[in-house]
Amino acid sequence: MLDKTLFAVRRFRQDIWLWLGSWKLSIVLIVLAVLYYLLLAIWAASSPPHVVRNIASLMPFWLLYLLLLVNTGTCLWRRLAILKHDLSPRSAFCDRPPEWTVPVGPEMVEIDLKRAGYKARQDGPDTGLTGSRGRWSALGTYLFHGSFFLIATAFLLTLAGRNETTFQVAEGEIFRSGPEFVVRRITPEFWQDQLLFTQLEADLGWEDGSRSITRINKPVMTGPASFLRLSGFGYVPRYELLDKQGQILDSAWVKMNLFPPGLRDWFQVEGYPHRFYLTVIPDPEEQDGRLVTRSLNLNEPVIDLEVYRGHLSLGTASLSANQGFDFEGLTIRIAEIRYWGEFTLVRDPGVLPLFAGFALGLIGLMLRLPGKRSEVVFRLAVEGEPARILGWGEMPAGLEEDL
Amino acid sequence: MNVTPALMLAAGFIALLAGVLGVVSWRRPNAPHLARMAGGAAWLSLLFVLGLWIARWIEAGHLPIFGTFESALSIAAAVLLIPTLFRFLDRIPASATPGACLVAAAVLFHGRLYDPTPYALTISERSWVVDIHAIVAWFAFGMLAVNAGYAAWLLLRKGNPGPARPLTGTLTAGFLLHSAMLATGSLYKFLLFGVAWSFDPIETLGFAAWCAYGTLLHMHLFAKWDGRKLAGWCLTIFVLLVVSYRGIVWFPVWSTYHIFDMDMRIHLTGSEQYEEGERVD
Repeated sequence: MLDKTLFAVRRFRQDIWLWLGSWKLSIVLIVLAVLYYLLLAIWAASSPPHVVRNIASLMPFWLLYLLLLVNTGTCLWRRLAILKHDLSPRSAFCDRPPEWTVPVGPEMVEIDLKRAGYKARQDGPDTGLTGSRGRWSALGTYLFHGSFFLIATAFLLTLAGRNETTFQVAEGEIFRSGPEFVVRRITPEFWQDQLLFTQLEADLGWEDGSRSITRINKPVMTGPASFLRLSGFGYVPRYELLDKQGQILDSAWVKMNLFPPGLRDWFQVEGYPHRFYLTVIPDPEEQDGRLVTRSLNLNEPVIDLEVYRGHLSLGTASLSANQGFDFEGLTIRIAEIRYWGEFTLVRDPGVLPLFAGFALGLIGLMLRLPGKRSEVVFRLAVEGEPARILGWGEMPAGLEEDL
Repeated sequence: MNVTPALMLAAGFIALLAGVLGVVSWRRPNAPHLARMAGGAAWLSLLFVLGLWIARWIEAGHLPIFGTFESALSIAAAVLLIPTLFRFLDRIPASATPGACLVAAAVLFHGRLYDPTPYALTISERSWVVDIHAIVAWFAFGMLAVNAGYAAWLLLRKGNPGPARPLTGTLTAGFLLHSAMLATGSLYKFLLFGVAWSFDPIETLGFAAWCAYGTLLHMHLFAKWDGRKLAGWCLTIFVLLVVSYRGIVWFPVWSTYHIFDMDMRIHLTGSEQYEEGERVD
């Protein structure tokens, strides 16, 4: 009874090992991946992106990825002996009778072998004309499939350690809550009068005196896995609150969501019950009796202001630079408008291994391009036998036509 | 010179003529003049499309990557160029060309339906990484279109079975290029949004097509799929590839970043707010 049980367990282990490393399982899993991702794409047509991302993080997906990795790892492990053989030097690779032969014309020359995709060479008067193809192909297979593990590790590192913080820094402001830098200048540029950026970059100055430019699509590396990128843009007006005598009671820069033009935002001054609602017309011109903007560039901007105390509106005004609006014994004016940049600091320990994995996978595929390894040698006709090519490894498809 | 939908239509008809003549010549191997006419039409189509592509580059002031209209030109140019290039290198026979011409015609007919206005590139498309990604994508599609074209030849031709090496060669090369396209796209996604993958439908469709081609390569290597059987599946999966490349415009604009037709969306600064539609006041 015990013997039967032990035999069954051993047999099961062998079967599982074979099954986990079988190419048929690979096919089933990859086809499942195709179906899963097609399903995601169909869902994306009717569901918001965050819902699609939630679906993609469900257990069936994780199980699929895990099985694919186990299957890939088992396949690679089982084929290590083949890898060792396929990477062996030519002398060892061809150290047995030829596996196939192809009759050829009596005058085999290098160019014929090259046409068939071989690296041909004359190895010497004794060995004659030889050819080699796909010398590193087996390594390519391992690099490509091995990259899956690096990519999987990268995704796990990202899940475990990714951190993103967003903050707004105005021109001239020093940011100190992380990498310390000053925003020297923010430069937006728009195409015609469209809400279409053709340029948005921030000129940053660092603690050590160096400078760098960051754009929306060009993050600055601030650490081994940290990237600072410019991710947004807006207007930051500086208000001045004055008393009846014209003395400035308060003045500050206020980062507001006033871009794109038409957006309305508000601020309060500490100690005062009033709320100030603003809309910016960045490049004003009069059309049909009202102010519209010619473009999105700041060019003598006008501020549409409305002041509230509680629910009571105290009035509206359209103010140019340093024009004031009087209310309840006070005057408010917008002295200046600058830009603020929204910066995102991304710490992602998985991103560098991810792209290393991609590079490794692509190198593996390039090594695989010539096909499986094949070594050939040309033999002259002797004693009634025609001239022929002797081959080891895989006989490339179409070789006879090529030669 | 402005590249107009009418010119694209003309280019599409020339490519269609080349493709139809070529396919007919497969069924009538005893009429070599048909094959010659098809070859001539294919050359004319290639030169015409390349000319339009260069004209569009000059007109727009940037590589033609922006919008369905001009990307159709670029893809058609790649699809027509690759079989010609590889014929010179003696790697792909002329038999792959008619299928490629039919694909180019379909792409041109579809692309001409979209806004032809040349827009300046937005900041999110101004990067050499984007240029490389686009070029790799065009050549990936072109290589797999040639693969499909050759597969069609194997299936439709009369006579002895043709050599299988161009089929497997283009399949492998196309898979490599498609992989590179996904990798460069992921790299740029990270540069632009700070995330390398977000299940955007362009990514999921591209990955599905990648897996499908990977399955086919495994079936060729392990189950010894070859000849007509492999060719049939190459054609089938190519349909998925076409959907992944050109079908993205059928998705709602809020679901994907990869719709670059300005009449269909306005690009904001690349903030994730675009996912939620309009900014909240």
